[in-house]
Amino acid sequence: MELLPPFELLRPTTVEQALAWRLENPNSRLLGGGTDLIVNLRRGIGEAPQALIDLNQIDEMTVIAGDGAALRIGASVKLAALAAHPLVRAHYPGLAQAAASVAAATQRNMATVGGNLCLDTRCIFYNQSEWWRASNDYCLKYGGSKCHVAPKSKVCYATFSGDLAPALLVLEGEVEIIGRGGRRTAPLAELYSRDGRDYLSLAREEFVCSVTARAAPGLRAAYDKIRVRRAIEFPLAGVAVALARDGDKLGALRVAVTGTNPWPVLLEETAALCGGGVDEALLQRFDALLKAQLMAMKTTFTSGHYRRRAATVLARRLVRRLFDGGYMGETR
Amino acid sequence: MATEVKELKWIGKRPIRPDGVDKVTGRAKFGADLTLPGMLVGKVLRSPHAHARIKSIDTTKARALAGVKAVVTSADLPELASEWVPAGELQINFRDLSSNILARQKVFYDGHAVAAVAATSAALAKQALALIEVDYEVLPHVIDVVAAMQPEAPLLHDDLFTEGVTPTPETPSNIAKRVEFARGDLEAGFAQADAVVERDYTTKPVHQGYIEPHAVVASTSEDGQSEVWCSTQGQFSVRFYIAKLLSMEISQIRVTPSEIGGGFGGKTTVYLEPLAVLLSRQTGRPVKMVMTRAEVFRATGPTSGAALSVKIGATKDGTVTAAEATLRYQAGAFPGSPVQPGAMCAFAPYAFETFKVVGYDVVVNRPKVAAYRAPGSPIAAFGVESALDELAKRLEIDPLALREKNAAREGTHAAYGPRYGPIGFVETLQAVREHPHYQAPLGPNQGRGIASGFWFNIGGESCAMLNVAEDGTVVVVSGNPDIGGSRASLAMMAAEVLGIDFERVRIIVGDTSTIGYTFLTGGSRVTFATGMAVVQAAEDVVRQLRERAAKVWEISADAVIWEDGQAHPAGANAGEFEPLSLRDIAAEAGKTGGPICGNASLNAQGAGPGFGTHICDVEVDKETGRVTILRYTAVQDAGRAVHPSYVEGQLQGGAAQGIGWALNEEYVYDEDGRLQNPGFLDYRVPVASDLPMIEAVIVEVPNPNHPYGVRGVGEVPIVPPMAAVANAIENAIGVRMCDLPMSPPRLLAAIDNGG
Ligand SMILES: Cc1cc2nc3c(=O)[nH]c(=O)nc-3n(C[C@H](O)[C@H](O)[C@H](O)COP(=O)(O)OP(=O)(O)OC[C@H]3O[C@@H](n4cnc5c(N)ncnc54)[C@H](O)[C@@H]3O)c2cc1C
Repeated sequence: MELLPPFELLRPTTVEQALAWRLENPNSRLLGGGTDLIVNLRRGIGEAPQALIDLNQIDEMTVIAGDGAALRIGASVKLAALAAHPLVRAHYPGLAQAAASVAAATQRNMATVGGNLCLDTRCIFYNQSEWWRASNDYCLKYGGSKCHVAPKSKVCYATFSGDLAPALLVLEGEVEIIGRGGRRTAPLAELYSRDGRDYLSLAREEFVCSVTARAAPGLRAAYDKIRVRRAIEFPLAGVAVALARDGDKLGALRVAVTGTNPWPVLLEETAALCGGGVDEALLQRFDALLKAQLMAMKTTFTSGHYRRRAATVLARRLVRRLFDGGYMGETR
Repeated sequence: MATEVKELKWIGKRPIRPDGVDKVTGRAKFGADLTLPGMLVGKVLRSPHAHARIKSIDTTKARALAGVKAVVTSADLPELASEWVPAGELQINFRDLSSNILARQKVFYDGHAVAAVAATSAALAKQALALIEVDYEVLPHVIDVVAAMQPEAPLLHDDLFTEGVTPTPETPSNIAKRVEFARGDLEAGFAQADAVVERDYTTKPVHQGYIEPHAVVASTSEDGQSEVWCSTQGQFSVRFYIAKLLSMEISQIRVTPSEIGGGFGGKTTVYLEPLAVLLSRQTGRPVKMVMTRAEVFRATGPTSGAALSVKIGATKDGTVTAAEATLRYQAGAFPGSPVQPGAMCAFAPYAFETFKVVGYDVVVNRPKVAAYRAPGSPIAAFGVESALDELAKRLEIDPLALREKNAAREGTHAAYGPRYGPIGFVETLQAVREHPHYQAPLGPNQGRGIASGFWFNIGGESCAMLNVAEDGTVVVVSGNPDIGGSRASLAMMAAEVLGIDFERVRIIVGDTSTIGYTFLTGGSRVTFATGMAVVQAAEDVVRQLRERAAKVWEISADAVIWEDGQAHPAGANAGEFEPLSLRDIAAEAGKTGGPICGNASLNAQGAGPGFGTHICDVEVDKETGRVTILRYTAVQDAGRAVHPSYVEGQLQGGAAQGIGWALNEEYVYDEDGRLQNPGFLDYRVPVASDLPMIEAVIVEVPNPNHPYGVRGVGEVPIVPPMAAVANAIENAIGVRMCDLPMSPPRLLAAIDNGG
């Protein structure tokens, strides 16, 4: 393992203190469970920070609260706790499925919801040792000027691979953000920019305090991911679907995908698919939507085309199962 | 046979392993756990290029950095002549080993060591590496074995002329060696066949994947004595290699093996150990070196990737009339792939009369390969066992019946030369036939495959020592690092011979100065060969115990027998005495002639060849190409399972590694020959949730050359899985996969192409 650079560890107990320290230490990084951040720091990815601000001691950020209609999840809640929470399992099974599918048990015991939502984007040319990146002239995402995935590109294609974001996006996820102006909320989709390099739209000092999910009556939601191994594996593609039936017709459909684009994609134009039954013709239109909005870039060892195709397969299966009232349960 | 007549007390039981508690409590000391006063940290500078000439190395700035105590390059290593010596299951050439440890004129792969530093902290050592200036002239490289064999391929070594062809070629090439094993008239054999299958296959290099990275501490004193602590499969090999590489006398070096976190063949050679000694010699301080996982992947030996061609013909009744295989194995940067054993193993399970196997050892710009469980055999078996499956289908014969029809038995003239003694191949096939798994129903997109495998197993030199303590407990000293539970089985054999409780036997792995030369832990030899030495040393103790009892009773030693841990008079004529226990005799040992210590040293002959047959059920997701292993049964002839749990563990572990090899493990190199996935996240060994409980079925056909009938068991189980999985996939969806790994994207592409 590579050496961790020296840094100061700050442990605020309130969001105000966290913000104050964040403002005082412009060259600081936020620490959730550290399961991504520490790996990257050891590899010399990103500037070595003067300080890490540990967000795990702030009470309000460690709470899950709500009911079958809405759920507020503190950003420092551990994924293992989220996956096991009775309320989540009963009413938000897609969320529990997503949390339980992250990495492996040891990581989930440390990893936080905020860290998962703010997970750095990933790429073959980025998640490598300092030595490796040096011998490849670094890359557009960090330290270099060229994108090795798309050499002419001005934007970075590093892929967002967090499992929770899609599951929350289809449940109208909303993030609560702490910043200079106090608290603000924003739709989760707006947390993300469209560039793999500066992948979050947060201001320098801002951080995520909580995320809220909503479940309308009759909504059925589920998450599934394709991976080579059954654990310790980022999603080659991960798909969340939430739908509602209107008799034998599709009444509402929301679909979100991770592992393909530099941001978690909340599929657009799904409303156009509603109003009819779920048949092969509809699924083909669905395929076309996915194909148009998902990227197929070679940012992982598994080709982009494969990942996009697998996402389509998963999405179809989830839509069919949820529509047919499959075993994944309803959000209420 | 001894095993059938005697009632055994310990052999075949399942006591708790002696190393168990320390391992589960975290107390066990592995390679990186030792710390000495004044210790420095050593680190290695590695090549960023797959193939380059080193024009110059300037270490001035690194040396000038405060805290840096030494910087070494190949100029600090003696130049050695080319000399091949046996090294476990492979051969080793010291000139090449030296150039692998620190590159000389050229670097041959991404990650090749070019310099090493010792500094007072890891951070300083890292900083020092960055200050070493290496001027490279980058050369064209080649990493694919078939490409490397072409005349126009970039040449790695301009003094490499193919061995094994006459006349020896006049131009150098990347083909280091050609080997051939043949018998009978091939053309006539194929002419008799009613069906012939001919296919090309490829396999990828795969890493042993031991969890513990290479680690060493070396301490050299002013008088030139060196002490070395490291994670290795063979402390005596490490001692010998260091002596050779650094021109030292063997007795100046003392190597202590740490607890070992996996080896699988990969820790039968050296990488860091000579460097640590060299750095320690130059600084006069202890030096610790530990590899990162990326270094393990970039610079330590996987097994070969290969390209094979296999052709097998048979008559309608399934009798194979001719078989032919061409094996092209990557050796990595220096000659020495396991193609020879691969060629010997290819047809070893079968009584084919007419066959030809040709093998090529080919250098490429990748790390030098190292031994990996049954080196060479799994690669050949993937081709042969896949082809047999296809042949069975073509002939409409049950694949098991095809194997039964052609199986080698006692007396069969093995394809690689000798005649087999008692072997258990047919018994494994029979056990498969009788196992409920073989008949269990399958659902849609599910399939079943079987495949068999062979490994020689070896014997060789071993010592063992048994010291009887004053209270009658016993300490066994073995010379083999324990990577598979051998401490348990050796102690059990000692307890068996002495007739005492297993708990009264304590066993340790000795360092090179406390026990006599013992060949490394490899070739599935330890329970067989060192086991034999332990049995003999225990018998030596028994002889002495009888003599001591005779002395006490004042009768002749011949009149004393040893039974159930006690000396008894041999019969009524010998006189009437109360039996003397080991405890009694030990307490009086001082008065009857001094401490009791048994010894044995031997060169074990007659290792028992090992055979296994595996059954694998898969389900294929035809839309994603993902394969799920539903059920897996591994059957193997163990000769005699001393500790069945650890035999089962070997079968399960081998099958798990084979499944990884079959489905997902591969090195991804970019255009520049740089390894892109030097880590466990993207080099995908299977995790627990990818595997079903692997059922291990032990068949016992005793090896007559071992007191308890032991054969080696550690290597055979990695031989069948690749073909078993491929055959199961074919059975499930009718798609024949000839290229490994059969990962989801590859399988999906094959499904798209209609197989
Ligand atoms: C072997 C392995 C496998 C993995 N597999 C998966 C997987 O399958 N799926 C998956 O999604 N992830 C995976 N991960 C990545 C990671 O473990 C998870 O995404 C985890 O949820 C990250 O959470 P954390 O709390 O550990 O984040 P950290 O590492 O602490 O932080 C991640 C990033 O988020 C920032 N951050 C943390 N909290 C906040 C906040 N409140 N506001 C703003 N920014 C914040 C940090 O500064 C950092 O940039 C894997 C990691 C490893 C090592």
